[in-house]
Amino acid sequence: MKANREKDILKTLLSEIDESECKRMHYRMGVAVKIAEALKRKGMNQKDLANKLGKKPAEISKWLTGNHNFTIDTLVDIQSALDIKLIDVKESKFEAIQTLPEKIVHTRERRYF
Amino acid sequence: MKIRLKEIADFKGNKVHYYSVYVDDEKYTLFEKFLLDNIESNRKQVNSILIRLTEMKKHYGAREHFFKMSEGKVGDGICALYEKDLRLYCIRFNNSIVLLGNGGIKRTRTYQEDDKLHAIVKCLQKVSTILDKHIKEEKDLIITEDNELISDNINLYDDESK
Repeated sequence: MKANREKDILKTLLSEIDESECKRMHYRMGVAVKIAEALKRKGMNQKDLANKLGKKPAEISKWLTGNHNFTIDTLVDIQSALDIKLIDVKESKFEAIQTLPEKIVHTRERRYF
Repeated sequence: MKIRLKEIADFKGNKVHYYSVYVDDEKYTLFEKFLLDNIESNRKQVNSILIRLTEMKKHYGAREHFFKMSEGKVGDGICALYEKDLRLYCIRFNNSIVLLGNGGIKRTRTYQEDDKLHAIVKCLQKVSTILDKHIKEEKDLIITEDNELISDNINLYDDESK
């Protein structure tokens, strides 16, 4: 019995994997791939990116393993350094919000001046 | 040394074929030993590594930058997947073929300073030499066009064991 359980250990472990953790890893690895592909397109290596961002090459290498949990600030810096999109917050994709009509704005301005 | 290749059936995917090996007459493959040795004490790290292997086989392939390369000697293909201080040593053939070996916790600066890890990497280096020899000679082991390692389930030997 124990021998069978040991032989099935991988099956058991895979069945117990947390779906949320899978999703997180999927995106971390996806970001790593995007960065690696951008480096290749631009003819840059990890050291070049490290220099551009003021980081150590070992840190870039760690990013590319696909297990790094980036801050938004770091993603923004990488986007700029490599001219790629990692975060998508395009305003045109937001729901429309109500803005004040011009008349009321002018009225308010007159009141205070 | 005698090795027998085994494709890891529970890990079959579109993008990557994973294999491990039985060394000499051992009951478990190197990867099974890794799981058995680490599942109790390092479960979270093991799970993290398994998730990454799953994502590679489903979506991304075994891209080189996912691995810590050059863990062994230059050109032996030995690399590592790591989660915190847990290492899984592998032989990465290309984006589609990875042989999963054994591993463990790395508490020293280099694996050579840790007897257990050193033995594990040395074993994998011998495995790599045997596989390399047989692939180059196209003897008993081939890489197919579909990126599968085929060995007809036979034992492969190093020159010393013949």
